Amino acid sequence: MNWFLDMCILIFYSEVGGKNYQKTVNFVEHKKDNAFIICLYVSKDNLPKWIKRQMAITNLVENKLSNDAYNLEESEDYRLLFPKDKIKLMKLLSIGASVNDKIKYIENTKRNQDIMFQRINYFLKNLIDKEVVPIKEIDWDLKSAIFIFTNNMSDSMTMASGIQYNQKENIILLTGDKHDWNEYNIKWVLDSEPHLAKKYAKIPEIRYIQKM
Amino acid sequence: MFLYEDGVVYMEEKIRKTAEEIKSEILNQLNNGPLTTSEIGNAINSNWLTIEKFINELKTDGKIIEIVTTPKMKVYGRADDLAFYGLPFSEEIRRNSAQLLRAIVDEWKREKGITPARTILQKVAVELIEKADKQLKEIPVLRFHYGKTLAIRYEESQISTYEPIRLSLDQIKILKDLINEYYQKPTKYAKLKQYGKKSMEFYLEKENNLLDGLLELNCKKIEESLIKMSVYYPIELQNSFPLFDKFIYCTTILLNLKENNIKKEYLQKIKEIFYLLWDVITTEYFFYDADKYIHPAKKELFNQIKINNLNSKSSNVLLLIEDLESEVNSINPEHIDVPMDEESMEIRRILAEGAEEE
Repeated sequence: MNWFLDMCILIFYSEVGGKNYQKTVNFVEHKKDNAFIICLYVSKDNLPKWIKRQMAITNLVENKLSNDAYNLEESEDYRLLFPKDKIKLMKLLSIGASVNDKIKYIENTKRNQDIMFQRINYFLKNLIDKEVVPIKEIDWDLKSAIFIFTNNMSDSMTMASGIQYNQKENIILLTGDKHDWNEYNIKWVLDSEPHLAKKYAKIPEIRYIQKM
Repeated sequence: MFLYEDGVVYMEEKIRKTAEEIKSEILNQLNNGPLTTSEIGNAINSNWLTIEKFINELKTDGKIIEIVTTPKMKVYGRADDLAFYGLPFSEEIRRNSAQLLRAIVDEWKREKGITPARTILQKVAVELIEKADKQLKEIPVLRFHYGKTLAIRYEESQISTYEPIRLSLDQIKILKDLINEYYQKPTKYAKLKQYGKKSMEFYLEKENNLLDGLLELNCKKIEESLIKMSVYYPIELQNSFPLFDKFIYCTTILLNLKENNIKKEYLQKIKEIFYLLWDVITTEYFFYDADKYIHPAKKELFNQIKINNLNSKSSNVLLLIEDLESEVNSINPEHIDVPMDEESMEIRRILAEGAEEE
């Protein structure tokens, strides 16, 4: 089978002890002859950017906790963050504010982040068999049509890549996102755009890691 | 007309100069820092061909070195230039720094009958400048491999050609106290005293904990110390930071390997790379501090020297760190110890939050 992985699968794999961790590890351990496929949008664009933002979060935690006068909002790292990242930052800072040994907490945050990054890097380097669909070749119309339904750019890019690749080789899209990733969404997209329905006649199956 | 015959050059103004005289003039011109070929030619009133010829001879003799070569210019400096990296510090900075070193060495010899060790000498010079009044404060103090130092190094044969700087009675008293304090003390004492001061925490952490950790092969100590160093990392050193950051990532993973023997095998590699990385970071620090003491007319040359030195060092370390990173990313995560305490679980949960929407 060809498993086309959403980016969240790699993040679940990195969060040891997390709510989707065990299911993800079980899935990976039963890989056998199955192929793990990822789109180039995830491996070369979305994931590196996510990693960069996560590094910015821990840098800001480090700077703020080691110097209370540090102005978060004026820093370059802070400007990289999305609103959801700023929430993560505040959560990490509030834990940091409650501990006595701030340096130890910074150290722990960095250590855990490095361990997560190593697991993601390992996954990319050793478990992924194919990286497909160059970013430039993502069908702009298809991506835009999906975006209307999902309102999420990264989901639209990844789903468009998956649908495009499925025309070449049958895949199963594996994700953890039950909200945006579903076959009804894809069907609606294609129903509302007949020229796309014609071009992408085969719709990939979608499965959720939570149900594996 | 320029003629060169039997070792005698006939100059334009009809002054006969021997080859040795010209070479000596070139060396004299380079006493105050590096110069381009045309600057040397203008200073000694000689043409490019003549200069090029004697420069090559001086290069072969090991007396001068080519500091920078670009399509636009060739810059030469004395092989025994006192300024670190042959930087184009002004004559005044060179003179004042050399005269201060001379005064300290003379006083030390008078008091103790011997010459101090070079690192101690530099530490005493820096402390004297910091404790003294305005006059000495004009002498640049720069951060380098072993902490703060003057812009030039101590070479007895050359420093002794300078007059000692005139110190006030107060300054002499401070100097005598410093000599008594540092006499027979190990270099480590001088380093730790200087690193104990504000803005030197990065050096202190390395000297106090990291080196001990590497010596004792104490993984916990090394990891803790490296993370503390990243907290104290000087924000102004932006070129070296990506290297430092990658290095911290690699060492964190390697030091959390479950298998002790493999972990210890990696320690030697970590140690070797760290020393090279330290060289890059502190070289950048030196150039960063030196920048403000360079005359605008010499900035282009300064930047060229900086790029030459930093680029070659950085690219060498980058290769090593990238190799290490590749090894790290190939380690099966099952071989890495993952902390399962409540705080760690919560940190990971927060960092992975919202993965579904990414």
